[in-house]
Amino acid sequence: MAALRTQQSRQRDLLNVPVVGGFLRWKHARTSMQAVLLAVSALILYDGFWGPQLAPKNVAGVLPWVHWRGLVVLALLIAGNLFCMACPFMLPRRLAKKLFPANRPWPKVMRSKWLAIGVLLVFFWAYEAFDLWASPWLTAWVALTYFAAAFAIDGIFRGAAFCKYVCPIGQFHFVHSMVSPLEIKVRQPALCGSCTTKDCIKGRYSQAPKPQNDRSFREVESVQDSPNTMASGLTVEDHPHPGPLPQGRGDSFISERITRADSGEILGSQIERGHSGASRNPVDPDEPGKAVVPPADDTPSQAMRQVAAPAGLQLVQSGCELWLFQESKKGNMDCTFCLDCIQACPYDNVGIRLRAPTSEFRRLDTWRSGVGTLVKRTDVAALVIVLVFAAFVNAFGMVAPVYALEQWLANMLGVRNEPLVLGVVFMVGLVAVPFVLVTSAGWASRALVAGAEPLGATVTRYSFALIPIGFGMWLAHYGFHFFIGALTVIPVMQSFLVDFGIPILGDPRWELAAIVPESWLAPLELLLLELGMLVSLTVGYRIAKEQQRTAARAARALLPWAVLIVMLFFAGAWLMTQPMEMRGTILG
Amino acid sequence: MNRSIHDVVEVRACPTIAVVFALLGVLALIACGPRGQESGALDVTIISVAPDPATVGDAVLTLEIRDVDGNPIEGATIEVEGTMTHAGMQPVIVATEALGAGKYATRDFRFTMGGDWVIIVRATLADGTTVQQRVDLKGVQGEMKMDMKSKDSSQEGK
Ligand code: SF4
Ligand code: SF4
Ligand SMILES: [Cu+2]
Repeated sequence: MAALRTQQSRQRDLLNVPVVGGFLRWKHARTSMQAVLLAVSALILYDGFWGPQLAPKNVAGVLPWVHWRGLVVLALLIAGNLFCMACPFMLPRRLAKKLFPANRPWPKVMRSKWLAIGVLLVFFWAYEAFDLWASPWLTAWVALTYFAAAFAIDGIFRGAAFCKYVCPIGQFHFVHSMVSPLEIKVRQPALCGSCTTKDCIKGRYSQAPKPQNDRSFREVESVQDSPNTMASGLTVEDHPHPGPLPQGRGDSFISERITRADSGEILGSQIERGHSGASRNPVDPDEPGKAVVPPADDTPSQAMRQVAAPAGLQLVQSGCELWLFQESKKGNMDCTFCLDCIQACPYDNVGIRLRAPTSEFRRLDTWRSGVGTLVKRTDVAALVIVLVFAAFVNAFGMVAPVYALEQWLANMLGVRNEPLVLGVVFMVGLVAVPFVLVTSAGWASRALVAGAEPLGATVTRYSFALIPIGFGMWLAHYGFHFFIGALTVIPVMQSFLVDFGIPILGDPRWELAAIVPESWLAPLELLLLELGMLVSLTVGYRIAKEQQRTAARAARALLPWAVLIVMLFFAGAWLMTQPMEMRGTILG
Repeated sequence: MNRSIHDVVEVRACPTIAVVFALLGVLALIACGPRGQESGALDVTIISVAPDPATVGDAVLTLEIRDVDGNPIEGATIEVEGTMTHAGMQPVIVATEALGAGKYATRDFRFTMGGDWVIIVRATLADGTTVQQRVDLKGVQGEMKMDMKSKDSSQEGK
């Protein structure tokens, strides 16, 4: 029976699907996908800088804004974070890792999503303020900035600092892949318990001599999280790891288990190299001599990074650079689907598993490796809220009423500066309004059940229930552009080749555009938004139910959030009925 | 499971090769110079748009087309493409009717969406050469909806 269940659970694993699975297991799978996207990026850069400056006629006007945006949200819906998996920024970045030491720890104060939230806000504003969609030249600059930033940041800092703490595209994917049907996950948890090497996080080493600039991780990274986690009943205990040591891996390993004092529940374990009997506690690189006991909300993987470079060995295969330790990884937050862990695990115990898209929102208050405890991550909640509201504000940016609003605002403020006016619109729409709405909902939710939880904690907890409705809106919007414009890439490529004197695809057929009949779009968009609402309500109820004793109390706690979710649904439905209008400047 | 040092070298060389190829590709393209530049051989003026102001729905654009020396272009086949500054929309491509004296009126043109339009005039001259020129037409009054319903209703209304 158990064997049967294992069998079945193994079947629902993308790695077991013929062809696709085989490809994904290939060690150059990711690199080859990245190489394809790098070539496409090169085309975008060239055309953006040197091609015709009319978006519909330019590769940089069409591919990023119509195809890329549409395809990534569809990929998130039917699979997972496929863009990060094939991310072209990662190739130059890997080069940077070779060229530069890349050994600095990411500054402690910045180990959160706050910086990325700032970058996202700037991006959403710049998109409208400078009409990025209308300028292939600016689009190319944005892409180039991305390459440069990933190269520079990861050339200086260790691990995947850019992905985890900076990249706005990554944050968009991390948040929305929480509702994706695939998750990189351990196949048989019991096997991890008996694993002594933890290659999935530590990486795999060969006997080859170590190169000069080996950037093996030696120090602790910790995500910003609740500072009082040690006081919350969590303890770290040491015990020798059972089982034989694999050959060629040097000294003995000590593993630590983080257990919850009250329940004895194991939240995660960490392993450390007992190298020549030195201190077993990770040493803070910035404050030598000061031993750091990682807070329980910190990731064990981070602690392992410190000790993961066996002397004289060379890293053959990275472990997770996002500091997600498979054994206690839960969900898709911060996972780039890079497959490093799959390549690294010597027991083939990591899979790309099918799951219920709502399963990630179960037990938000358990500790997750590399992420910590989500209900304590105010920064993650803020990221979620900004992205949810951005879905609506971004769509609002392309319907007629936005111009009336801009005009009115400009008159009221007495300014003719469009970026300034839009700055006000975005600060209100992405910061002020969401803040008022979620705090009101949180306050009402607490009042209705006379809850004792602090307001911030309630807001953080329930903010995750907003992800599906926000995702529904992103899907409706970007899906719309993709479905009515998918074929526009054909004439653009035809004209590209014609301009280079190689008209092998024929003359451009500019009339090509939609990929589905236009009459399908309205029902499809509404369906996506409705689905988003239903999943949001379901997730919201689950969250409430886990915290409240009875169904009645859960319903009451959920009520204000349900109102907010339904309000967002109607806002989205209203947006869809508004006349669409694409204008550059309207002021001055 | 057995990986040799050769695998290591291969893994590490992979991104480098890809990056180098991408850079070479961009350099090769840059060496070819810019593409799709306006030929600039025409002087196009939109002398009227009906209805005025331009609004989503059926419209007639009347254009005056001259060569660089200011002589009206006669006997040319003129195709007009209306598109937007936003990618991903189906352009409106129509033929024109010659009105004489270098003036041409579009046939069956329609603005499908509000916002900034770009009118591309493609002329096949009497001697068979083709030239094209772009003119901007900003601020067409909006009506089309994201769900596309209004397009049908505006048709029914007429
Ligand atoms: S998070 Fe990393 S992998 Fe994902 S898009 Fe950003 S740079 Fe690429
Ligand atoms: S190595 Fe980390 S980021 Fe990459 S797929 Fe595995 S868990 Fe995700
Ligand atoms: Cu849009």
